[in-house]
Order: sequence, then C-alpha cells, then structure tokens
Amino acid sequence: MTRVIATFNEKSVDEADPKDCSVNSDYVIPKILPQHFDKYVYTFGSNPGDGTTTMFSIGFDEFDYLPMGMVLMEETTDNAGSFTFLVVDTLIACTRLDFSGGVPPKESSTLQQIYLELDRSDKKLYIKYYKNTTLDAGYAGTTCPTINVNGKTFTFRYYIFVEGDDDEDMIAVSKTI
Amino acid sequence: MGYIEVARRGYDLRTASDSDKLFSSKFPSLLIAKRYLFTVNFGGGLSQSFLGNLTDHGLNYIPCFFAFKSTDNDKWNPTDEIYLDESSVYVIKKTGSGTQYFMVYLFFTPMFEFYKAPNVAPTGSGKGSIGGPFMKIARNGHSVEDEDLRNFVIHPDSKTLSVHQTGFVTNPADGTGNIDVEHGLTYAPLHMIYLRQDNGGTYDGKANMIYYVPNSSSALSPPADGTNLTIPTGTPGTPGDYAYLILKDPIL
Repeated sequence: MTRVIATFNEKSVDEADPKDCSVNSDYVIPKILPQHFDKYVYTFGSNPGDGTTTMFSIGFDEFDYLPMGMVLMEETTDNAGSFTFLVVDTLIACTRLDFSGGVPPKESSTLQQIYLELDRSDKKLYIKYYKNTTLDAGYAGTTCPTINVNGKTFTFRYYIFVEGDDDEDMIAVSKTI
Repeated sequence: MGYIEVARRGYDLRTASDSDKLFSSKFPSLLIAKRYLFTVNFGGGLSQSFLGNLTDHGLNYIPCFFAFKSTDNDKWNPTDEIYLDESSVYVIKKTGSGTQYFMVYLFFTPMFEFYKAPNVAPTGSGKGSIGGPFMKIARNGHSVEDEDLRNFVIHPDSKTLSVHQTGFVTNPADGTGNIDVEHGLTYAPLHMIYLRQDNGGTYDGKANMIYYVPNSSSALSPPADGTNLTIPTGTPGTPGDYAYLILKDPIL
C-alpha cells in the first residue's frame, strides 16, 4: 500500500507527527461538496409567534449516514458582516430578570433562540427559531443579548460535510453517571 | 525547498485561491484524528464525567474539535457541553437527564499553539479549464475507485478545510474587552472559538466550543471581517484563554 504524506513545516515525512502534515493518507480531511454550501436569507415577520419555526432546511439524501454540519449566522439588517457560529441553541434574546429575591416576575418575559439541527431520519439540515414567552427559571438573572428580531433579516451560511458517522473510524463509548 | 499543491476540479492551480486548493504543502489541513460516539446515561442535576483519553490517539495536547449532541440519536445540535484538557475528553451536562449522545470530531490541529500560514495565493482568481487533470488520494486501505467519499483524503469534486491560523488570547479576571486577532486574509474566514476557563471549579482548565461569553452584554460574536477575528471576551467576561481556529476557507 502506498502512503502519501506531505508536511508544511519542512519536517521530514519520516519523523513528522500528523499535526505537521498538509496531507497524510492515514487521515481524512473534512470535505464539502459544491451543492452542500450556500447561503440563505430569512426575514422575520413583525411579531413571530411562540414555539418552534423552521427557518430553513436542506436535504442530504445522498448520504446514508449523519454528516457533520455547521452554520454561521449574520444579522444582516443592522450588523452586516458580523458572523456568529451556531454552537448550541444560540440565545439571541431574553428578558433580564432577577429571581434572587425569590419573587416571581410579574411582567411577561421571552426567550428566543436560533439553532442548527441535523436530522438523521429526515436527512436534512435545519435552522430553527424558538420563542417562549415564559422565561425558564434557569435563565433567571442571565445576562444575554437583546436582538429584536421583529422584521429583521438574517443570512445563514451552511456547510454540510462528507464526513460523519463512520463505523471504520468511530470509537463508541457508553457511560452511566 | 519544493512544494506540492493540488487544486479542486475546474480550478487552475496557477490562479486558484488557497481555499480552492485541495491541499498545499505550504500550510496544514484540518486532519481528523479520531471520532467518538459517546452514549451517556445521566442522573439529575449537573453531571461531569471523564469520557475518553486523548493520549490513546497520539494527542498529548488539547486539539481543536467539533462536538454535537442528541437526546434521541436522531436530531443533533452542535454543543458546548464537551470539554477537553491536555489528556482527556469530558462531558459537563448543563440540561436534561436520561440518555444523551455526543459525537466528537478530534482534529490534529493544536488549540493552544501559535501558528500563522503564509498566503500563497491571496488574490487568486480561481476557475480554470474544466475537465483538466485531477488527483485523488484515498485513505489507507481504500481504493481511489471507491464511491464513498468518506474514504478519500482529498477528492477533486470537493472542497477541503485548511488551517490558516491558531493561537489564543488571555482574558484576566478584571476583563480586557474584545480582542482583535489580525488574520491577514482579504475575506472573512470560517473560524471557531474555544474557551479554557481559569476561575476554579468544575470548568477550570478545560476548553469547550463557545459562541458567546457569559456575562457579556452583547452575546453575539463580533465580526470576523476581512482584517480581524474579534474575540468576544466580554467585560469583564469569563477569565481564561480564548483559543481561535481560523481556516483558509472564506465565509461564503
């Protein structure tokens, strides 16, 4: 079997660690097909409703496994050029409340999130918006952004990778805590 | 010293931008070291647990990584609940209970080493003759005739991710505000930001993927623009080391 190794830092290929490599046929590099990266523009209504709204979806039918994906979000109306990586349920707005005195808030409060979801059975990448007018107690006192999404335009850049579930390379570990 | 470069199918290597090269021996690619699938059965409350040993995979440093979480092994979201230190992978659960699933992609790229790649062709114009010669490299044990693209290190029909810059900035307990990192590219690049906290307790010394900084009045990351990646450390924000992984690939 022929191996292919190239280093970028002038280390000898005989001594190189994988982190010294531009290419090493022992290890794959994340790859994206042209049909799997693009951008999508979404404009909110004047007062989006509660619950979960699907802002965007795109399929990956050609894969019979769950690929890796990533999304960057840009609030285009007021902050064009500012990109946020969607890591977890990205908190885009909440009302800042202080429950420290144990007194429940009387005013209405909101929690709004935008998040990326990769759905194995639907074979789709989703970008979703979630709004809840009853603030979860877990966010009491949280300092968070207050982007008013009403009527605002967001642009999403999505990337679906070839790499994903891989029985050959995946280490499966089960734990009980 | 000579070097090797391969462009994507349909791109002329003489004019292709760095991000349209499948690889160049002038800068590193984002090689995947190992993939984990953790199935964790949690009790209630905050739970922390050791999940795996990095040194089993030849990693004796904190590597860059992507992590995803699912509660049903069907719907998956990127997560900030996976943490790495210099020897181990941990989960620190913030929400939910019962069985949860975590998929972790470890890269060989060190998270806390300073590196900046040269711009070999920063103003490349890209496309060249369609259908010209191309090159494939299959991963060891597979044929270049394989139809499963996962079994290729590089494939001419795809883009591959290359590393442009890594390093970190330190935010002290009294805060420094946002910190600019000049990347020297002419476009806003794909990037990731990680935080290794330095405030004692459960999270101390462990790094996770972040999109914002707790206690920041503006949670959304400032822009990665054509000049800088701005690290949102907040004021005062969370003390610790904020690591960045900047790729050659532009935000399209």
